[in-house]
Amino acid sequence: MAQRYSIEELFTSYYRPLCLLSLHYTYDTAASEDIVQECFVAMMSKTPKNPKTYLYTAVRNRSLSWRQRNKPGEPLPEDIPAPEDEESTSIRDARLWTAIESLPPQRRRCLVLAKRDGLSYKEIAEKLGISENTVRNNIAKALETLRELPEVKKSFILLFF
Amino acid sequence: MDSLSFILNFFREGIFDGRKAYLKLAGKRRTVLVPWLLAAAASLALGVFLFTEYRNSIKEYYAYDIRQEFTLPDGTQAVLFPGSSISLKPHWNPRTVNMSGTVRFTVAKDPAHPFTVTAKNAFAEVLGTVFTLCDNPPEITVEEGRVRFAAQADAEGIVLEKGESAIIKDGAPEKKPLFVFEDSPLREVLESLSGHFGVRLRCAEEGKRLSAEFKDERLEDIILLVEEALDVKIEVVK
Repeated sequence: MAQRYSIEELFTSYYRPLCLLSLHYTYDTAASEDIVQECFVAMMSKTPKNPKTYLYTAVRNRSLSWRQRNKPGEPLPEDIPAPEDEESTSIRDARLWTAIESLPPQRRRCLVLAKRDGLSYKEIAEKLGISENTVRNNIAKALETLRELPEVKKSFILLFF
Repeated sequence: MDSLSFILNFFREGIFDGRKAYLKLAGKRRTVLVPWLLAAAASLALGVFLFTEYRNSIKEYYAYDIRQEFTLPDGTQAVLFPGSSISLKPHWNPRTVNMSGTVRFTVAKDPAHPFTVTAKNAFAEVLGTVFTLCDNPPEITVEEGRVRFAAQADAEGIVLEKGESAIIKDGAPEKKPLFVFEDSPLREVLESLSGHFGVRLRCAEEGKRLSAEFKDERLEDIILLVEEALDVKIEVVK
């Protein structure tokens, strides 16, 4: 089934998912964003019949090349999606990313400092000028919100944080 | 690594933004400028650009599979039903929002700045406070306060009050019937009318049953219609 997208719609709907797909290969956010931008620019000058397929293929190939150039000899990460699952996986990842982005600022900060940067509740409390209890509450509420997402529920993953 | 851990591991604000990328990549134009003019234009452009970027920055809220509640920048509470979204430009006008789906708003009081909601085929301007707007099919229910409801922003529309609902029919707003009786005993009908109009109504034959809808009619007309339909006499007690 052919679907006609405007360039703007392609950006709005697929830019973030494609960045996250690339991230599964590169483990480098700056590199992935560059790769995806290059692919969009190429797509805009080549105007392929099926832009979505073109973009997914291009991003996959360029991300793989980047990894081979920049992390030679390292085995590929295990959670790289198979081609037929790329669209659904990347959209799910994008929704998760957006959900974290949409969290109230302090909850998001606490969550990210704890899970991404590995800070202790005490360190987070000091850094943000709030109590440890508040940190604990914020993280609990943030995880509660994220756990409720169908993306998280469907994968039956229980998060023991 | 499960997907949530993966995302959390790399998460950063302000990146992977499709809208920003679109503006950056899809709006390219080639121009030739004299060097000094280029420098002057560039600084001015940068200033204006940063200012408009800030002013045009968009805030979005989504509800996926479950109801989500958010507090908007102006203090308004929004409950998004599953599959709904809201977007606004808080630094441009925090009292104007776009929405799709079904959202219940509890609007923060600010008589100086009316709160407006635009959906695909419906528009509401709030004269204060709690209402639910659904955009497919377009329908609004007012719980408190008064709301001006129309199909578009520039149409006059109608004003709805507490307890009223309206839909969009043939491109214009239409109040839903206030009273719907389905085989209701006359006693209930009279109680309902009494309660709404603040009068006491009495009838000898309260056992008769009525099925009818009354849309925005005056009490006298409703009484006449009921009397005719059931062949009874209704008394208004002073």
